[in-house]
Parts: sequence; structure tokens; C-alpha cells
Amino acid sequence: MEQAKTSSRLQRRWNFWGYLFILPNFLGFLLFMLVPIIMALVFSFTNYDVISQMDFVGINNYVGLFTDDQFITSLLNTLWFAVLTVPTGVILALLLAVLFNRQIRGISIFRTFVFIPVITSMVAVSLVWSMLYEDNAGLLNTLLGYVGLGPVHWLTDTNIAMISIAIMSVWKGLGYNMTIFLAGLQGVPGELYEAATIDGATARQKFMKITVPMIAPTTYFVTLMALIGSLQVFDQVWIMTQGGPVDATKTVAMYLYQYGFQFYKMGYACAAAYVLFILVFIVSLIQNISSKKWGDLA
Amino acid sequence: MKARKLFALVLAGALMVSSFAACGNSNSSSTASKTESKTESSKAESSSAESTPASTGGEKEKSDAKLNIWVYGWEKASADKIKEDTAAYKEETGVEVTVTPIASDSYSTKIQATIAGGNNPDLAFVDAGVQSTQLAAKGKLLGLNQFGVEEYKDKFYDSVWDTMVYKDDVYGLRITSNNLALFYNKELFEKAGLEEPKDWTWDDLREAAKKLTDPDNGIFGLDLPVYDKKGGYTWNWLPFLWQNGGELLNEDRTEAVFNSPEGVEALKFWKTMVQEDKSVPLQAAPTGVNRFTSGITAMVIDGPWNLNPFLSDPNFKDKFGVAPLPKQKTQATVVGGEGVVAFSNTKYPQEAYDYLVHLTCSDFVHTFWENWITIPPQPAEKDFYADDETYGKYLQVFSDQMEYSRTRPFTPSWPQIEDTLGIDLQGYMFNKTDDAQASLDKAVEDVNKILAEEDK
Repeated sequence: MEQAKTSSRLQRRWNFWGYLFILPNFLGFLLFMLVPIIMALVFSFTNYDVISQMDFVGINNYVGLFTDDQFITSLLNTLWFAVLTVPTGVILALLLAVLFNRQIRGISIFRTFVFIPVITSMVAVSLVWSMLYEDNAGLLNTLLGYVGLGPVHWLTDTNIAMISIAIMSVWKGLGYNMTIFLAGLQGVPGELYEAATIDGATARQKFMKITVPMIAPTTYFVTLMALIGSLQVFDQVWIMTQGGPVDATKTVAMYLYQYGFQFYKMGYACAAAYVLFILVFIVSLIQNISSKKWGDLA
Repeated sequence: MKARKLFALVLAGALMVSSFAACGNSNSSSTASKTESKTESSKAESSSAESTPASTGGEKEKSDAKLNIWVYGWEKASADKIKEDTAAYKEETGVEVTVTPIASDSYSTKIQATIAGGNNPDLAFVDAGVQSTQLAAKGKLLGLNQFGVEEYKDKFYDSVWDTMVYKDDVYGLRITSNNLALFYNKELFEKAGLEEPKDWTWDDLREAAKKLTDPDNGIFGLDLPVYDKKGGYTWNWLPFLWQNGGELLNEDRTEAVFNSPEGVEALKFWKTMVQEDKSVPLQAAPTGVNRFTSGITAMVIDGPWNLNPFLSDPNFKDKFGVAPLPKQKTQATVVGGEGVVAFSNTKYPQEAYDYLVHLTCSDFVHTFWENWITIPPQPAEKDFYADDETYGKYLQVFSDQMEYSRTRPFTPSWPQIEDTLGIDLQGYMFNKTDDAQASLDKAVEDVNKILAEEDK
């Protein structure tokens, strides 16, 4: 009895310290995340323009969004970008991780090479790739020229521009995803592979029957993060094409930035942000439900 | 145990403090001008206090108004000059002006944010027309007609004056102006056996661009911002529309009218050069300026702000010249630049107006022309740079163009119009179907939609 009391008091005291430690972060979250998120929801039903009195306009902003060709285009572009980057990004990262998941001399050097783009600023990467993609004197077209191909209008063809940005984005995010996969792979017990080897399993079988199911939680995490990231894509588009040519690469994040901070139609921009939020929420939900199935594999 | 607790407490405290410090910072930089300007003013006070201790005591008749002004902090020299000048200004008038230089790409967003917080400065430099019209429409700017600002109208070019007019009032005065002219590469002109551009028409421009184009060496005759979408397309295309006698909006700026035959011709002219003659590079990067200095393009249409980059390139500084834009039915170029506005919530409207006039209409305004390499907005100062060895011959071309320069037809939603129009024009440029009329009709429809929303 006495014992239990002390321990609960101790527990409470420990809890106090725990709360105290998370307080700075929580306050930051409250002030800079939660409150603005709720305010944005309120703004999305107003004609808020940052400087004058706002009026509630009901769902006008949302109606306006879905009757605006530009918004529909940017929504489709964003989804197209996700389709282009997520599967390729995840699969390539997994293959690289498997390739690099072995103890050979200098392996960390190779891992570092793949990871370097991750720690490089997106602005710098975008500028460099803009030059690589340059139509006439860019490295890629010069190389293609040597083998008698091209020139490809990487960033200036409305059909190709988004693919070019996707290629660059996959390359940039590869190292991050690979590192997470490596961590997942190293958590797979070696005995499983040994047992499978004794049973005469081929490398392919081991990969499909052991590796893939065992790292399913990792795959789930990587896919979800990649998906959310791709739906919010902004920096590289802003720098490389500014959404052009002819809106071919305009994304939702760019659309709402323009309306919020260039045209000062903040209420409208908030509505766009909430459409994006709902989109991210839905895909996360689908992911979450389907992940239970993935879990069964393990 | 105690030591550990103490350590934990200190650590938690430190975390708190640092996180608060972080929010304090982000606050002051994004919204609150108060904290920044206070530190500025305390600095200014401490420096001026030493030099003028006597003057404050003796002259009680003078105004004791305190004004706060935001200025562009692009370079230190002119910001310092303004600060210096405020001391003299105080001695003369008693008005204490605090200068806050803001060096930031998000200058206009900051202004917007401070207005939202009600702690905006009394005066501010702005991108003339673009932001001033928007703020004037929301009633945030001080109308200047009540102070008799009309007396200064003749001092400025009409195009320049018009940028600060919204409905029936004037909302600021201009410190600088600029416009677009034709930069050309002398070396490439010589190689192609061309005379330097003089009294050119569209046909001359087109023919020269064709002659200069050399696909084998990757050289293009002319650069046009065909991929620029931050309103750059519109900004560069407008002079062509005007040169051909077209108009963007009607007189009241309530309706778009550029789907006229003149507009169609102007639209086609660009596309012919780009898609048919292939004398314009279809490249998103590097920028047009870089293409020009590296000799990829022989001509580029751009403003005086490029002179410093061009002249500071030792391999390029002697290779280029500046010519007026070509003419078609008439001569035209588009005018841009900076102005000063006063905000309607200032406590000292009269003093704010007086200081605004002091900055823009006294000789003090020369400071900006000297330091920013822009064009004087005042016809009387047309030859301001004439004797300048470095810039004179180039800037004079821009200055001479001022008399037929025109303002963009600003409305409160101009940034959006510029952007939407740019996308539509660009759409035509890359559209396989070649129906210029249909493209312009759609663009007119889009712009009219934006204009209709303004009245709501």
C-alpha cells in the first residue's frame, strides 16, 4: 500500500518533469501549428485579404476553387507528380538499400554519395538541375547529342517538364528513403536468411518472401512520407519552372502561395490549403487501412 | 540527485528561453515593425543627440511629430544618406523621422503584415502602382489631393504620375522610374554585318534577329521572356501591344479590350519570331541576362537595372549598346519604378505629406538616382546622367524614352491580371493550333473575370 503510494507520487513527479521537457516543443506546436491550422480553417470561409475587415462568404471560396481551371490543373499536376515520384522513388530506394546492405570495404562511401543530395539545399539542387536540363548547351542534351539523340526540351515542353522535375526529385530524395530502408533491412534477423538458404531458397525468393514482408512497416513509413512530400511539392517547381510552361507544372502548393502571398486573397488560399489537406488526409487514410493488410504479410 | 534536478530545471528553462527567443525573432522579422524600428530609432537618437543638443531646446514652434518610414535596403549608401538627411530635416522642421531600411525579397509582404497588425510605418517606399493601387483600394493609403499635391503634377512625366493615381485621388509620389529598352551585342552585330539599331520598326527587328541567328554556333537573334511567368511575359509584351496601337483595358479599367486586331498582330509577332524564324531561344534557364552576356543571344529587351551586372563583367562591358524599343504604329515602352506612399492611419498626415514631398521633389531625390542607377521620373532632370562617363550613354537612351513611356493600367488586382494574362499568352505561344484571336478572346474573358471580382 505504502509502496504503491510512493511509486505513484514518484510517477507523478516524473510526469511533471516529462511535461516540463515537452513544454517548449508543445508551446511551439500550439502557437505555430495548431492555432494557425484552426485559423486557416476559419479564414477559408472568409474573404480575408490580410489587411481589411473580413466577411464570411460561406463556401464561396471552395466553389470558386472547383470552378477555376487553373486550380483543377494544379490539382491534377500535383497528383501526376505523386504518381511519377512515389512508386519509382520507393522502389529504387529499396533496391539501392538491398544493394548497399552488405559489409564490404568502402560501402559507406557509396551510401554517402547517395545521401549527399538529401543534405543539399533544394534551391541549389534545383538551380544545378536547371542548368543540366538546359535546352541547347545543357549537359544532358549535349550528351544526348553525342549519341545522335535529342535535344529533349526538358523544362520547356509542356508534356515533359513535370517528368523532368520528377526525375530530379526522385534523385534528391533517394538517399533519405534508402537510409530508412537500410535501417529496416538491418532489423531483419539473419537466421531467417540462413534457414532459407538451408531450405534451398533462391535469392529472389528470399527477397520476396523474407525481405519484403519483414520490412513492410518501413515500406509503409517511406511510402507515406514520400506521398505527403510529393503532394506538397513547391520549391523545385518554383525555382525550375515557376509552374510553367503554360501551367504544366503548377502545383497546388504553388497555386495557394500565389493567391495567399502575391494576390493577397488569403481566404481563398486557405481554402486551397484545406483542399490539399483533405487530399493528404485521404491518401494517408487509405495507406493506413491498406497497411493493416501489409502487416498481415509479416 | 539534487544536482541532477537542478540541471534538468536549468535545461528545461534554457529550452524555453531559446524557443521564446526564436518566436520573438520570427515575430519581429515578419510582422512587428515596432521592435525593429525602435532599435533603429534609439540608434538614430543616440547619434543625433550628440550633434544637436542645443537645437531641440531653442525652437519650440516647430512640430514635434515623429514619423517612421520604411525604405528599400538594397544598398547601404542611400539608406545611410536618408538617415543623415533626417537629422537636418529635424533641425529645419522639428519632425523626427525614423528610417527603417528593409532588405528583403518579401518587402511587400512585410508591409501587408504590418498593416494587418496595425503597426505599419507612417510612410513607405513601394513598387509604384503594383502595391500602391492595391493598398489605395483598401483605403490604407493617405489620399494626397487634400494637401494640394496637384501642384507637383507638372514636375513628373504623365506616365509616372499616373502610376500613383487610383480613382480620383493621388496616393504617392515617385522617386525613381525605369523602362524597357533594347540591349544589343555590338560584336555579334558586326559579325552579322548589321548597323547598330536606329529608328527600327518591327520588321527591322525581325530581320535583324533572323540575320543574327546562327544555329550552328547556338546563337539567337533576340531574347524574349517566353517562359517567364511572374508577370514578366505581360510586362514585356505590353510595349508591343501599345506600339501597335492596342490597349490592354478600357479607359475606366473595368474591361479588357486587348483582343483587338492590334492585339492579335502583336501576339502573332512574337510567335512568328519564336516558332517560325526560330530567332528566339526556347530556354527556361539560364536567365535571359545570362544568355545575353554569354553571347547566346544578340539582343534582349530589358531595363536599366541590368547595367551594373553588364558593366561589372570585364569581358562584356564594352561589347553592348542600348537602343530604343522598335516602333510600329507608334513608339511606346512600359514604365516601372519606385514611389513613396503615406498610410491613412498616420497620426501626422500633414507632416507625413511634407516629408513625402521633401523626399521626392527636393534635390534630395538625386540620392536615389545616383545610387540605384534608375531613370529620373522628372522631365526637367532628363539629362541627369548626361555627363556620367560610366552610365551616361546608356541611361540617356532610357531617359529619352520616358516621353513616350506608358504606365501599366493598374487595378487593385493587377498582380493577378498580369499573371493570368501571362499564362494565356504563353499558352498561345506553345499551342499547336494557331488561332490568335481565340487565344486573346479567352485571355480577355479571364481578365474580365478578375476585374468583375474587384467590384464585389
